[in-house]
Amino acid sequence: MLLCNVQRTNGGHAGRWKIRERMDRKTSEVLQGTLDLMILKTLHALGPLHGFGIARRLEQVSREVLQLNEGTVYTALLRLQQQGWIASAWGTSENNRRAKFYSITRRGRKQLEIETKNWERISGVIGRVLRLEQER
Amino acid sequence: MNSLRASRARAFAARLRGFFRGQRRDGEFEAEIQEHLLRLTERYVAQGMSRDEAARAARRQFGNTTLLREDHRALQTLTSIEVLWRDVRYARRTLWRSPGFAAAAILAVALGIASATAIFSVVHATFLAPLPYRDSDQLVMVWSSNRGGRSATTAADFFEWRRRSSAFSDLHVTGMLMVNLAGGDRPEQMRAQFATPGMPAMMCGGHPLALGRLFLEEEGTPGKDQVVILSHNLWQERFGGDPNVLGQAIRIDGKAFTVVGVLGKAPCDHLPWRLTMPRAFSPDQINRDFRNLLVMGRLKPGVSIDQANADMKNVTDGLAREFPASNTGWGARVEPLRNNFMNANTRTTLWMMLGAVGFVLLIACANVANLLLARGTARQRELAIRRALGASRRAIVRQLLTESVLLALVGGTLGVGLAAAAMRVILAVMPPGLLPSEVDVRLSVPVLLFTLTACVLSGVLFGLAPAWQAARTDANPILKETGRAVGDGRHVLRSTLVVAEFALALTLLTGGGLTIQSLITIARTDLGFRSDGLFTFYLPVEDDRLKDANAVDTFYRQFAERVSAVPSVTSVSYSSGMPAGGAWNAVPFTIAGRAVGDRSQRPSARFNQVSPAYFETLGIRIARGRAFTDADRIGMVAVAIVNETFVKRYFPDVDPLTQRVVVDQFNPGVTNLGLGIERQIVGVSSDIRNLGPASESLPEIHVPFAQSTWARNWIAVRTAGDPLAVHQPIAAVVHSIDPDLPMVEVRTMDQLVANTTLGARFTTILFGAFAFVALLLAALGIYGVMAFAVAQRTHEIGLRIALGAARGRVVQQVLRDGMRTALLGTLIGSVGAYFVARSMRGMVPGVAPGDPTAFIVVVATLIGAALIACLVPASRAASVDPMTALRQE
Repeated sequence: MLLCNVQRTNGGHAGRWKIRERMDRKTSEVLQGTLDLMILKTLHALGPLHGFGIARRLEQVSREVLQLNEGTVYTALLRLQQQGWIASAWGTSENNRRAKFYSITRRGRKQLEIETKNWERISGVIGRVLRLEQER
Repeated sequence: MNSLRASRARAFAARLRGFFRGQRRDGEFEAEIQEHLLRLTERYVAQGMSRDEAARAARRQFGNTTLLREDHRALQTLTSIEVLWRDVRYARRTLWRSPGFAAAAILAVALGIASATAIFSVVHATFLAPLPYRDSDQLVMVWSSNRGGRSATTAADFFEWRRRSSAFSDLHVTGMLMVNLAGGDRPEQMRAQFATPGMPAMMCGGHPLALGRLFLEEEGTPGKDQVVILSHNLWQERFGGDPNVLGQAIRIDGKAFTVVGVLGKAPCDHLPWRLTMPRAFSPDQINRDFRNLLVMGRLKPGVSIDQANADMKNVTDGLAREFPASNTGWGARVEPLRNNFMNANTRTTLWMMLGAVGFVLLIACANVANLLLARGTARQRELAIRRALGASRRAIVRQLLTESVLLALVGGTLGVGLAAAAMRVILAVMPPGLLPSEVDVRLSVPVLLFTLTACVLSGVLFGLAPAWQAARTDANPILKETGRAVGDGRHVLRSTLVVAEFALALTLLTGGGLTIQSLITIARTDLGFRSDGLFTFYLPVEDDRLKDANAVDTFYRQFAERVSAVPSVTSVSYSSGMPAGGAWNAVPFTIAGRAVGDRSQRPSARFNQVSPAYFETLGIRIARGRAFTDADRIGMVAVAIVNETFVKRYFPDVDPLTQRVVVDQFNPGVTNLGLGIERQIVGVSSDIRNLGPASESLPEIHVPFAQSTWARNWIAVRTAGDPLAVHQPIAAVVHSIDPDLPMVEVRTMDQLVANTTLGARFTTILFGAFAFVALLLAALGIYGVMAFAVAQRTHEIGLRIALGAARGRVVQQVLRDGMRTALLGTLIGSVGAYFVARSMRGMVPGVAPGDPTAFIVVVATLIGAALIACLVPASRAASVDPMTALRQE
């Protein structure tokens, strides 16, 4: 169970606060990469979606194993936009209200391919290592 | 990891775009967030929660919106720059609110930065800025050297060097002479360069001309050398920039020269001469007798100075083998052209000045640091509240440092303005010739960069201690306290700073005091002759004008008679050299009756051809024997008078009046020395200080003018009244003899002597100015600390007085506190003062090493200033009204 809390804490003794921040930063980096990948995949599979929709899909797909503060999705969306992997446009949502829709770009599709291959490679290796363990 | 770098670059680019566009779209993002929250809430409501519960659950699931907004904004801009800008705005506001403090700090910084900038601009222009000539690193001077000393070169040697050496792409002779330029309403004497024809091309290169052409090679031969190139400013001043000047003939030294070219403004407009003429050598001038040529050259590309020196050693060794009579023991030295003619004293002085202003800047920084520390105490609450609200220590330190640097920059800007004014004054009073003519002192870009760096570094330096103090202080006790400031490791820190200030100030003041003492001693020295009431000038009669020695002698004798007829003139003399007047002739000699080893190793002495009235006119005492009379003429016994230094050196235990010296004969207009003439010594003159009170006395040989004539001479006229009153009548006499003959270097002897100390006076003024600023800053520093301490402890003092302490004791205690700091600083400063005195030993003539006068005076001044500075706060402490003091917390 990955419980990821990317909230910063304020106050407290300076020393403890620093260590906490460092740890948060490390886990959050890993998390950032995973989140980015999941969002790209979502947009690739489901087409243009708004922030709420993406969050719902993520919740669904991860079968509630991954617990995120939903606001972090927006930070990820901004990052992906800056890298040029997704694009945004204002439109109307399914309940007739204004919402910002995000869609994957060509470059984003390429990035998705690269990242997917990476993941498959890594998981393959880990799988083989674990099987090795079992054989013993 | 290329993709990682690429993605980081893209992110940075996006942030840069966002920073400049200011685009944050906060409103849009807000709408997105609210929409999301709304839908989450609706979902929970659909699941059966109440509106409020649903809203709360939605917010919980969404996360911290404030942080999200901050992160969102931060991703889209360059946070560090925004933070910096915010700090700067805040700093400006806080400084604006305390104008008194800001003014004091800015003024201190301005004084420090102004001095540093002014001196650095001089140092930069002299040592660091490139010379204006083409590829100036390759330009070198080649000197002859003998027994370690350097000297000019003979013509024959020059041509041999040119032929045999392989290290130079160009080797030329250069020399400067004063010449008469005739024409217009008055003749003018000016500096002219005589150089081999290729010289201007070597120096200036590229397109150095405004008009015409450079010299041709053939114009270096006698007969074809009556051509001249004008300098740009001469062309403008004397010929009005007239382009028709090309091809015109102008009269120089009585001869006609054709103008073939005019130099442009750059790069050669910094040269000290106004005319350039080709140096032609007639065959008999190419000899090994006269060492009077300066050789300048350009190294071949890739050749270093060491290589050139090695090459020249081979050449001179070969010459010494082939011409042992003249060249034994003579080598050559290749030196870079830059600052080659600057004397070592100037160099040391400049570096010392740089050190001095460094001290002034440090003292100013200490002062401002003290001011900041005092202010820090007042701001403790404000900073404590900021810390409590979550500002990190780093943010506080960053804020305080930003304030300091801002202060430094504002003070620095004011300082640059002050420096510009100071530099104008410095350049106006600087003695001419102190710095080489190519030195162009101005606020150039490198100097301004230096100022900027100095400002920022100073800002960080004096901001560091207060910032660190402020960040270290625990916020809680301050917030709990209701009013009084929490004390104070601060007072110790501030006192330490004052101690440092005093130490630095003492060191600087010692240097200044020594130069002042030297100047005073110099002013009181006996010169050996009477400088009052003497009118002097130089008569540059051309060599060709007077046919032979007899004609020269007659001319000057008649001239002296006519000048004597002028009212209020008591005596007139003419001589080839004059005290404080300029370069003397020098001549090698031998003592008759003593074995002469090597002719090229003969000693030389100063040589002066004098009229009979010379010693009387100048007031030089004859210690033994007699002066010259009219009886000492051609055809009579050849005589000479030597000075006491000569006797001490060469006749320590013999009666000089029985001795004879053998001196080579000078023939006017000829550049060979004639045969040696034995001269009977008939008198011993007392020593004079020729180069001014600071110079030592050198051995001199005087001979009667009638027996050894010289064309260009110094005229000294003793008058009964004001020396300058005879200027016009004498000018009339000169004009009636020859309208083209100018009177040059017209001055009174007193002025000439004063000129010799010009350099020392200039140095003293500068040093004194810096020392005074340092004293002022140090006194202000100690005043600030004591005043603040008294203000802080008003409560305690009031209590003391209320409990019965005598006011006198209160004053005493304040004074004791202050003086203790001052004395400690003085003690530590004494160490620095000792080292300064030691290193300045050679540079302050007239002050015996180990003479403590200057030091004692300086210490007394410093302590006195500290005392006065402490009196004000002390008296304020004494007048504290206990009732008001106790009432205030």
